[in-house]
Amino acid sequence: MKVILNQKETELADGMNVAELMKEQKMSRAMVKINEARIRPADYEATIIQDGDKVVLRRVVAGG
Amino acid sequence: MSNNVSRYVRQEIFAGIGKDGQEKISKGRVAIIEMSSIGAAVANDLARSGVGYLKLIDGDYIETAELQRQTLFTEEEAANEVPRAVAACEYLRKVNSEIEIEPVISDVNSGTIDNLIEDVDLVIDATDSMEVRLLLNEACHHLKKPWIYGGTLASSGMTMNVLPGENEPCLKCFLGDEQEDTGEQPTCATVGILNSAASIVAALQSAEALKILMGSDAVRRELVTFDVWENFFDLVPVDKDPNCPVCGRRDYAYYGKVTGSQTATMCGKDSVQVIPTREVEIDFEKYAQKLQSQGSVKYTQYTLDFSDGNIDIKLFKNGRAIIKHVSDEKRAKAVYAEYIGL
Repeated sequence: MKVILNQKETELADGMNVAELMKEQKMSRAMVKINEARIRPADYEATIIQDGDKVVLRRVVAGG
Repeated sequence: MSNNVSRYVRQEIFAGIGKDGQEKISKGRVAIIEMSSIGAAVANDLARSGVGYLKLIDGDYIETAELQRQTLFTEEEAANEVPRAVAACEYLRKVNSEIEIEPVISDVNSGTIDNLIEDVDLVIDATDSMEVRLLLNEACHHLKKPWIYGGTLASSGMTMNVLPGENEPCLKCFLGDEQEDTGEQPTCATVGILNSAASIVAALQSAEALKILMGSDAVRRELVTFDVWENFFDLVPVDKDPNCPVCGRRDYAYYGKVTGSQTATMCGKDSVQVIPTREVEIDFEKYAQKLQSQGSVKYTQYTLDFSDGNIDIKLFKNGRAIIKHVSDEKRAKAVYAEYIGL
């Protein structure tokens, strides 16, 4: 499926959930929005990304 | 400008602050955890803004590689490995002699955090440790203190106000649990830090600090996330997680936990920090005499430096040590036990 991931058109596997996307992007913690709605960490596994979704995935940064 | 004009006049005529706001700012007490690229910039802003008391907490010393982004320090201080809290304090006292600035050379852990933050109104996070942030989140929740998360890496940054209150989200509400099997996470040593990204985080924290000290209605409720290289900036609402272990169930994983000696690999450095089980007062003269037969030793009022040609140890007054040129935490503990023996 095709989604807009961080402003770029990106191909993802069908049926991928947010937790799987984070693993693919190697992010242990992130701010996640899909179609402008923030996804809570507790809902990562249950949230399936759909074709055409606008996904924002920003790594939580820990540097000072 | 006339000597009768307040040094804060440009702040006082700003509609969001006024003279009453400046009065509140002057009574404010703020702790800044770490004089990092973010912390140094926040300390600079808040000192110049007239915050009445600043506690600059940092357990580390200045290195040359930090001058690219730490705005208060000099080449001479890096060459002399001056403790960052001390150098920041000395500089800022010259900037504003009307406020109180206290340097505290200390690690932040479950054994020290109460003493470090219980006497302030607000805590600014400028650390590079997620574990310290999680501890800070729990401590501030318990003590009902506001604090401001701030982090940066490469060209990006994030910041969020964490406010006390029944319906207010804490940092854990936002972070949740760490996802597993995501591999080694990037650090400043692997992906770098732009000073501009750190400055933006600091500027946002400084503005929010003034609002919080004033009790302003303009305190931001959203998380800010941005990337200066990718031209991305967003405000994201974060709501309270009713199942949050911290602000929901008060099930603290870090705060109030008794720990044995601790080690921590230091971000971006070929070093491991070792903290003894109990805090002590080290007599540097006695230790210098003990160590001089085994290598070179020198000491100041803040630190003792020892080298045997292979490893270097920087020992602080309270027994904490930074072991340089060691590969892992187990080896660092062994070196500590051999040479320091606490």
